[in-house]
Amino acid sequence: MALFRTIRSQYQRVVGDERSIKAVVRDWGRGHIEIDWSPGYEGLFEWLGNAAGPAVERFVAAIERRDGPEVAQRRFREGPAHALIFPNLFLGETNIAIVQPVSVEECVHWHTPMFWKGVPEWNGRLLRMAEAGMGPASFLMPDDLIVAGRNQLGLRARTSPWLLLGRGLDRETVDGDGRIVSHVTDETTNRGFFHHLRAVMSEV
Amino acid sequence: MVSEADHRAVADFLYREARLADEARYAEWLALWTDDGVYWMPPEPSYTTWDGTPAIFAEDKNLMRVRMGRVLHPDAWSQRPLWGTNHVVSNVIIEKEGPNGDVIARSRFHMMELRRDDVRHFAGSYMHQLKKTAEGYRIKLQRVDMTNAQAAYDYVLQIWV
Repeated sequence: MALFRTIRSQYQRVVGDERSIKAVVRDWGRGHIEIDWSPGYEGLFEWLGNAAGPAVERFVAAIERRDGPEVAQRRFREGPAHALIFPNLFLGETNIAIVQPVSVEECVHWHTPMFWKGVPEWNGRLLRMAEAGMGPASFLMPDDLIVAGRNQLGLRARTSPWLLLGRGLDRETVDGDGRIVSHVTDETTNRGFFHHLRAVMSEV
Repeated sequence: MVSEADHRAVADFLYREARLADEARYAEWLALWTDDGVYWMPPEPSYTTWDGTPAIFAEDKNLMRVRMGRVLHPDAWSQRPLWGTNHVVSNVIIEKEGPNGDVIARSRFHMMELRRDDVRHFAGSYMHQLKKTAEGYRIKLQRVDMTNAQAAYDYVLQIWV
């Protein structure tokens, strides 16, 4: 979580004592998984770098007209999904990514900023946010890459035949839609993904 | 005709900028920018603007501060040990000098970067739009065209080139 403390972004909201972190993870079933940061958001458009004023004026008016003020306010606060659609489509808030497996231990990660139809005034901001998050000089990728690299090294360890993804097993709940929900730091999403992967990739 | 003194002053400014970066004196380095200054590294030389086009860097002062804060933050463990860099700046030419003393300068650079045991080399050209102020030159725009910008790297860039 070091990255969250070191750049100013919406992720700032999840820094601190674990009990004060409101973000959750959800296992939707069939390998589809989600991180929902929005319970930790305090203001609107935190997912858009706290955009306000003229930058969102036209969008706010159009969505309020279309969806009514109540639904619109929820959309402005929650923002787009942070979710993995099984097996390899990642909706990364304002980015879309595809993971293309190449061989064992090798994949290509394609990504693009998501531009809103009819809101060209956001394009510049979204492009810069995508570069800062995932670009060749980004702030987000360095830590993710190092974590992924260490996980990969850990998988090669021969001291234990077990790979335990047990974090949070004791505190998961099932919501009204049948989704498994837990604290954002729990491995609920890892379990959801790999359970389904095993089911579709094995003959048993 | 550009005077020798102005040429000297611009070259000294570029050397000082490189020195501050190499000594990781990023706050002083950042103070060399005007308030509306932009640091821009296009993907390749044909780009004429960062506005609405992809870039490797396209940072205003605010984003530069964020990058500096992240790199220097004690919890940014992916950034430890801190990057070592060594810039060699050369071939300084003043392309244009306005009546108010503002200049457009071009130069070439070679930067060696050290991260743990890995050394990388980046080289290319700078274009500086410099504003003449009472405190000396300030950078309004620094464009960096990296000759090897399109190469594949194992790790992303974290420090300004």
